[in-house]
Amino acid sequence: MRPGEPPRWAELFLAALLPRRYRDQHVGDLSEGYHAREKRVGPAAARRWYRRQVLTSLGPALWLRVRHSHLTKASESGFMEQLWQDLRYGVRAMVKNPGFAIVSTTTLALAVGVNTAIFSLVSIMAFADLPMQDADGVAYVWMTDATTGQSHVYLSHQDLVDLRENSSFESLVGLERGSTILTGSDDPVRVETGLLTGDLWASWRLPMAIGRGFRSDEDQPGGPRVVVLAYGFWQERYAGSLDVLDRILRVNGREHTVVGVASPLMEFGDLAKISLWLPAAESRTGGDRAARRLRVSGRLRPGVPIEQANQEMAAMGERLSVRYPETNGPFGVHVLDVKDSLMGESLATIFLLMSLSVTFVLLIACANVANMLLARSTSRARELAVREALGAGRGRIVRQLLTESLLISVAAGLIGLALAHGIMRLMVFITRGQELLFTMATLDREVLGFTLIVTMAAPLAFGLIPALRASRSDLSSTLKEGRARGGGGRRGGRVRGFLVVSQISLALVLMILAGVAARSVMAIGTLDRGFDGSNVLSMIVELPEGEYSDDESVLQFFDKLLVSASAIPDAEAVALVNTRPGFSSEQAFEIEGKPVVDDRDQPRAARTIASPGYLDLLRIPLLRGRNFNARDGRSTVGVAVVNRAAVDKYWPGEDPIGQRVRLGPESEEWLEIVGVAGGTEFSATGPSMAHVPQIYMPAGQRPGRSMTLMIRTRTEPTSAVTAARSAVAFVDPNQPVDDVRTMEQYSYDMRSSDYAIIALFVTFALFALAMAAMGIYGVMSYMVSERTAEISLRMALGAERANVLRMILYEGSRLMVLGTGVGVVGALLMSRIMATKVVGVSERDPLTFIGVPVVLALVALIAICVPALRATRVAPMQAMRSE
Amino acid sequence: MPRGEFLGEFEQIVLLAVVRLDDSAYGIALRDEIELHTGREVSVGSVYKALDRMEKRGLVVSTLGDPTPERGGRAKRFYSVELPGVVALHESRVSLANLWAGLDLDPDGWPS
Repeated sequence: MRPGEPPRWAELFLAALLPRRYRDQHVGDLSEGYHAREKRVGPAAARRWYRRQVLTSLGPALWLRVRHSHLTKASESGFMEQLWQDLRYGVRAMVKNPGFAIVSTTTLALAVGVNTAIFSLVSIMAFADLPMQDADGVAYVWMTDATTGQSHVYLSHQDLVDLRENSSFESLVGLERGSTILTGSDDPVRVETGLLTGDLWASWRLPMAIGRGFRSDEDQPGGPRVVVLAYGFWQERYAGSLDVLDRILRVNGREHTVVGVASPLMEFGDLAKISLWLPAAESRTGGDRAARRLRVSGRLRPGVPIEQANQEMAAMGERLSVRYPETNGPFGVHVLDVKDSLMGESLATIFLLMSLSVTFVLLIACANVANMLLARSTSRARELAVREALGAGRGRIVRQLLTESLLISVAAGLIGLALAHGIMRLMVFITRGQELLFTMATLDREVLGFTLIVTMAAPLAFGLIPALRASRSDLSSTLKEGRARGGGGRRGGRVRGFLVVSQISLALVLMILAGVAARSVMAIGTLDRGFDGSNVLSMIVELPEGEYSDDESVLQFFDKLLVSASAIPDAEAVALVNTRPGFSSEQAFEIEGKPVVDDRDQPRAARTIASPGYLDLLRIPLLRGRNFNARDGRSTVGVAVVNRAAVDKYWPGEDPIGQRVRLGPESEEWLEIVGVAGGTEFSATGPSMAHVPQIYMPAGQRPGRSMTLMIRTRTEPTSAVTAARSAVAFVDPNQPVDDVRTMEQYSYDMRSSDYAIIALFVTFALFALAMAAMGIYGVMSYMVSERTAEISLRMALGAERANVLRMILYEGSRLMVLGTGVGVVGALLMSRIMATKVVGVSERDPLTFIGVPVVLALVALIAICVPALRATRVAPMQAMRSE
Repeated sequence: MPRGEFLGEFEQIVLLAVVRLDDSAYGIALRDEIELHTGREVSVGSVYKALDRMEKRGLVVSTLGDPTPERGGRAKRFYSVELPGVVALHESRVSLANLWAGLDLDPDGWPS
């Protein structure tokens, strides 16, 4: 985008639509308005204003265009009359030839459907109403992790405190997601919380619904215990009652005073799930610089552009890396605007790929319909010639044909909208409502506008060429000819050939991409994850800080829980772990006697804190040494088990047993490695799926209030849910359990958005394949029917059936080979982009790159063979007579 | 103006904006004036649509102005109100005033 200029595409689009009388004035007005706003509110807001203006001006522009169109100069009512005439004529023509109408409408409807569905996803990002007031002045601060390449890493409390000493932001507020237990009048419930290091509402300039936000003294350890309710929670639980202020809530076992209710605008994106807002002083991660859990946003000082803030923060980030190499070595700091922050990096690429794919689908569909119209206009050449001879102007005929195209595309648009709705529901179903994006997608005004534009523009794409060609035909020769010939012989053939080649190549690109993506996802799915999650039930038990304030009470609770859970009749084994296995991030640690010279060599490993039964329960193999046991407690020496990936990386060729590691700065105690086990954690990015280094530690030595209870059952795991709940209630009736899922559900949910994306890609690819097959079939059967006379003459003169067949197959295969070649090259380029961004996608998967073209070729071959065989069965005399 | 033909609400707003802006009444200025006084965000396109209709009915007349650099060198189209336009505005005002006369709405907006 050119700086200081309104979006060019919008300008061009509007200018194309406007009649000449208003074109310069209207575009000039918008340009003037843009420049005025750019000075006042900045370029981003000005561009948004401009886009909105163009979108809302399209309707009036179209109206003006119709009013000032030269066609309607004669009489305004004449235009409507002609349109009505054209429409009636078009409907009649379609009823007469329903096959064509049905096939072309279906083709387009499919294409419009997937396009609309994807656009509704994209539009959330592009047009979403941001919750903040003056959102251009709000920016997010993120860290980048050079070791993993991630660019949306949260900040730690300590880093936030240091970064506050800047001159770009007037406020920086950290937000940590969590959950807590609310006890009181009703049953204990678990609610999601947002912990804030400051007044986020003031920073976002959102007024409170009632009451106030947090004061600065409330984010201090030992500060007053206060809570702000989310708007929806307030409505639901207190029916919006005004006397909720100053009420006392028991949060996390401690009494908190309600000081305010947040604005309903806060219920945006994943913040919508939050019920209570608390000061972050209550978070337990305060002192640890490596505990990065804060999503930090802030208000830029007036007049400070985001680039300047980014430079300043990046410089501060570098200083932090130098000062704290152990925790901040590979981490940088950068600033992004709100939209870029909400959309993750890989999501952006996936959206790009998806938008490209659906555009391909639409193009293929248009090429198909164009092809059908071309063939049809040839067979209608006589009819059109008669109309022309009777005095219909060329413009009139073009309009007639375009009206027919419009009729098809409007019908397709309506069906497509319904289809898009279905696709969106399907995506929510596949992701089981876990992926916020899919649940947020709706067919709103922008999406409807998009569909309208597509359905208006598509007939131009697929209807104009055939219409112009048809109207250009030579009148007298067409009338003279007994039978319409080839839509203009060689040239018509070339246009159709080009359309088919582009269809095949576009379809192939899509199919290969879908194949590569699907195979990678399946490969991850079938990968030996290093543990056996079948028949394992899991649930989170998180103890409130108020009632379990010291480690001893926490340990006692979980010890009792293990005992009571083991008593479940169906339970084969029970264990506790801090987080379920999956993609957990690696954190720095230190090996005794191996000082780190370069920050990048800092050893890093994922951490798992578990009860002694954990490895056995998940059937993680113990390779050497010993597992934890009940004797590894608070009074004995600290122990750890490492996985094989850690040994390979940090103790190559050495015996790790007996070596010592520690997790952080000097205050931490040294842990003795007592065993080597298999791993469960994978790297979340990068091309290969392999275990990352991992350290297991006994829960008895590192008590935590939030643990996952795992139960391996002898029968169906879900049948043990009630028993498991009562096992928890038996130990403490006030503790709810949360997030009850089998490990298989959990693994699926972790990857559900991958599955949804693959499902979309594969759907596109199948559409594309079907359409390409239809395209090539259409062209070949048309060619054959055109040459029926020639073929039968050849056969009458003694040509072998095989020779004729070969001739036709040759014609078809030429198009096919050309299309395949172009497609493979395109797919190579696209898959290279994809490989860098999507987990586990291999760039050149030979099976896909060979297999998919073969499948396409087979389908295309069938599409060629059917008309070819038909041709050779034509009785010569019949064919000759038809001439 | 033909008998029985009223000004639409939006036409009335646009026409009043033309009168208010006097000799600087052109597209974007009219749009901004309307937003300023009504708080409604309207599109330049809908302003032109209303003006086009009213120009056909002889309520306003337009002339081309000079191009300026911030408009990318594009000319402005200035509008000024014609006598029938003034008459139409007054008629609308009188009609509305007549309808309002004698009505007494309590603070909640409901007729008392």
